[in-house]
Amino acid sequence: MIYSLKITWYFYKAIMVWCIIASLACIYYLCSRQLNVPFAIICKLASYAAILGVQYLNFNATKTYFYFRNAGFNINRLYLYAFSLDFVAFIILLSLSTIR
Amino acid sequence: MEPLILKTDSVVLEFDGRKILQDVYLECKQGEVLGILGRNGCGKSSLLRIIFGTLTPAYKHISINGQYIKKGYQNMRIAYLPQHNYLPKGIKIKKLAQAIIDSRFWDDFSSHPIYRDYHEKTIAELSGGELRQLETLMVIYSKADFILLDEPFTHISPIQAEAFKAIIKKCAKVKGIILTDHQYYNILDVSDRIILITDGYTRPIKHKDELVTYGYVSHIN
Repeated sequence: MIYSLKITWYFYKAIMVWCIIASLACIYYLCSRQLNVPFAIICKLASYAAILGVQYLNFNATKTYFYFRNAGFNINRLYLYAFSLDFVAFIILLSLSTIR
Repeated sequence: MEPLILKTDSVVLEFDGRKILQDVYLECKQGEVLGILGRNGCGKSSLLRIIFGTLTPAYKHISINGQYIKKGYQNMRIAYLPQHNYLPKGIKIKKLAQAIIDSRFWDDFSSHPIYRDYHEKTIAELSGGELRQLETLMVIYSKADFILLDEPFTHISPIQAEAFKAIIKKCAKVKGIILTDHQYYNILDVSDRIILITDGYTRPIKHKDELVTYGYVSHIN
């Protein structure tokens, strides 16, 4: 379990900046009432698709997949773990930002 | 404990209707080094990637001790050194190594100058040659039962190649190692068995002179 978390964290670091930017943008537009909660969630989910697309086109990113495979992990599964953890963090942020 | 046996059978790989590999058979057991030779584009790297599980051919049957393996890398059964750099940036070398190095070889790995001098740094601070050395060592000393090395002697100095051969021989006592490189003299030197890929088929080489017979080299010194 700890090993999986550690490897997921190393994997997540490469996409962390984009995930945080997407989360903060969604929260900002939610707080400024330009987005409602369901639409903020849809935007966040769409950002995952965009990140996947950028990573797929980024040849250097796909090269590093071999490190994670040598660690015994399937890349699709690592994306699932990383996005799941990020989404949980986003939901917590979203909940905090909607508390009045 | 009985040594594990990795078997690769009936591999068929085609690109645009052209058969690259057909009727491939190879077997590697823990405790031996298997060298693969062949001309450019004959499918050596593709074969390693098929065994590792990152290239899907038209047909393959890969097993370890008779148990079918779909993706070689799952559960750390097989590790692979690609021709390109593969370590992720922004993470300390020490952390990257601790996650994948076999505890039986940790002392050997950690006493190597490349690790000793740079373990608190990230890969951005290594030169191209140093990075290649580190990446090769991290695969050879990894926890996997079988190690696949694609051109481990390229981009390193002759003295370093000699050191790697000694390390490969040592690790091969408990692991199965399959390697390929165009520096055929290093492959002949380190391997217990040689297989030549020619016209898509694997041919076991019993004597070095057969490499001349099959047209891989013009002469052997």
